[in-house]
Amino acid sequence: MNMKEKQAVKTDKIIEVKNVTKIFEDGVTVIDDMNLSIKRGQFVTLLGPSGCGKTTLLRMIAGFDTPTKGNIYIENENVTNEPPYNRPVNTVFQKYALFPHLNVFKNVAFGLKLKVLEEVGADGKITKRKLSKKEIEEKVNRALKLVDLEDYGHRNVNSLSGGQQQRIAIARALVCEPKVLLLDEPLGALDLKMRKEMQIELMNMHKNLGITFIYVTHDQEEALTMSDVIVVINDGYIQQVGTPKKIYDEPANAFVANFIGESNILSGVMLKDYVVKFLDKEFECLDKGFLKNEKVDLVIRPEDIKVYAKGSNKGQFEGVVTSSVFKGTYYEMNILASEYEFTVQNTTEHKTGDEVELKIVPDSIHIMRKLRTVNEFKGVVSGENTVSFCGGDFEFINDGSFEKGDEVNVKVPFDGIEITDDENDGIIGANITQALYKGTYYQVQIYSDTDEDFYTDTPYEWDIDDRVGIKIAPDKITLTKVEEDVDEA
Amino acid sequence: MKPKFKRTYFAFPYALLCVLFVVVPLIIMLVFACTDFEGNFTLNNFGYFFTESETQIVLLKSVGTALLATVICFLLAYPLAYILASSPFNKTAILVMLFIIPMWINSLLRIYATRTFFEMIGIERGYLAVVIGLVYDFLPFMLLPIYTSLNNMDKSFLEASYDLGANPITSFLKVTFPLSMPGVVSGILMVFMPAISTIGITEMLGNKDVYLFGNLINDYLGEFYTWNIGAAYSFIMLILIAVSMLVANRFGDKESNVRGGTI
Repeated sequence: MNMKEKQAVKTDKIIEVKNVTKIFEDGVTVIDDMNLSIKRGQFVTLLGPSGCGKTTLLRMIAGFDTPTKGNIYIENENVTNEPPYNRPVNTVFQKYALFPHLNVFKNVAFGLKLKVLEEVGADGKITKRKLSKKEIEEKVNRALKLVDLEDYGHRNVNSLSGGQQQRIAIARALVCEPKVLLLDEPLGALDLKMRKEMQIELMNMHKNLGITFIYVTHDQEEALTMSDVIVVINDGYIQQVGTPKKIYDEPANAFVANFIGESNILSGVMLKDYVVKFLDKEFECLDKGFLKNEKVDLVIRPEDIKVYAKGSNKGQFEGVVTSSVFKGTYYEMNILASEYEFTVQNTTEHKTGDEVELKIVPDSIHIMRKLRTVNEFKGVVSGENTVSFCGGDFEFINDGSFEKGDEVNVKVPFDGIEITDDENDGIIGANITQALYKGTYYQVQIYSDTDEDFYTDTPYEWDIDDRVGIKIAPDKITLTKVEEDVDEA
Repeated sequence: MKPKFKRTYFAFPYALLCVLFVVVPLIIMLVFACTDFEGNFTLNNFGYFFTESETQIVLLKSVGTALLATVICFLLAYPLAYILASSPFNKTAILVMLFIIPMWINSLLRIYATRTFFEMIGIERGYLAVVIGLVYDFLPFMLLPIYTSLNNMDKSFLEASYDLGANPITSFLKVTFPLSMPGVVSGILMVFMPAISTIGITEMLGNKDVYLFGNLINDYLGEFYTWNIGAAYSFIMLILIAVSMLVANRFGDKESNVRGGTI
């Protein structure tokens, strides 16, 4: 990739948070060495429990708080020490913060009256001017129309309902035409029905305006509904960055699985590819690439567990219903099986005390690594000093003990995998699927075209869905013959 | 039937007190103001005010002095309140208390202390001493409401202003100051109204050249045969105060309808 292309890719990131740490005056670390980049035009949600640092992160992007360490870039420009009034972002505040001494029109016009336009004249001279009264009026009316409150300009802001105030707050921020709109739990104060309506309206606005939205919420349902990308934050660390579906279906760790939707999280052991053992039973699953007998976390969503009456012989194991609650469209049941109490959602009711059979189909078991340090693949020695795995021929240092055609287990430590910007610079091509921040480095997950996951520890941040190449230094590859492996076991 | 006991009954003692010491004296004053020495109905007492230009000048001087004291109080109190309400100084209430404590001391005692102090540092009795005395005496009444309104102001308004592109100075002029108006208005009223009728301060800190409306009324009331005029002049001042309060309250209402409120 040449320089020009690289720059084009760079400006695609509208906001970059680099190694940002925020320690409050009382010594509490709210954000710990965080890295994050946000693509232009996306609807990004910062999701996490209260006190996780998501609002602090937003406030640092807006400029109300300054990072203790690290930098924040907006369109490649370091804005870390810029005051909020010099940043091309606008905020919708949690409690709206509409000026009570101004009416609706003046509230919305507040930012416009301060705006200084730079115009390049015919002679190339840059002239600065303020917006004319007529221009302001037009823009304000357009913004009010956008939020469906066009006849409310003369109204006192305190005479409006919560939902209307919310819309005015959005109009006031949007009318300034920010590059990024920051929303700090804007729907928190609204009732459920109003919140649902506003969610849809915000999504439509995002779609129509094409502005990047950064949305802070602790409501996982809201995040799943609205976002292009969800950033799950806990304890000042990013736990996972991904699309709503990815985060729901493939949580990176037990915290994410627990926080996003209801889930059953169990510990298990991968006996071999596609077989995991938990609750003393073996289950088929769709995951592979784990070590033999590797301990793993696994998550099963409540709606993915099938429940049958006892004696039907359709289930894989038995359990007893300990509670059953009707939730409108389904029954939520707790079912005790082998000392683990599953939360199960099912449209068929099973009463408390009923003995039932449970079934978990392979694709509803999601396996999460507990801790990984080594990538393991199955491969074949393909030449004198090359080994073929994951669709590529990698060089390795052959001490003479391997011959062409030998089936081998390939081990590559996390720091042995090199990611290249250009796919063609690598031995194989792959997609970045996850960048999990681990405190001092990123654990980046790369998904190869042969459905293998590579993990690597890197100080650099990579964007999810980026197409990259994978390179491995010959001395980082360790081979063991498959037969030997079996002997050892 | 069980006798009904209403919560409003608790207000009766105060109502009684109010009738005895506010309403009745006002009626007595009104009677005096509208009668002559022999008790016949007349409006001449009020007439004197409009015919004697000297009296009008004294009133104007009183209003002017009260305005001057109010303006000085405001100019001193607002920056002070702003600093006290801003975060580094707002950690403890001790600083604020230091400025508020004088309010707790009887004003007569304070004026005595001021006189002694002025004698010590060599400020002569006169108009300047009266103005300084007024400012010193009423400063806390200006400070407290402004401080309260600034301190209670939601920080997010200021953040919203910065967010919309206003620098600190613009933000102060367009957001902070307008939002502190209720405090400013009630501060102005609490200084201006008592200052206009001041008498103790002029008596103790002024000299014979400082003769304000309060002194005038005092002198009329001091002589038995001029009570009626004194009562009429008192009424004129009362009306003046009521009007200024109405004007100020309307101004305060218009500027803001948030907490803080006027008196």
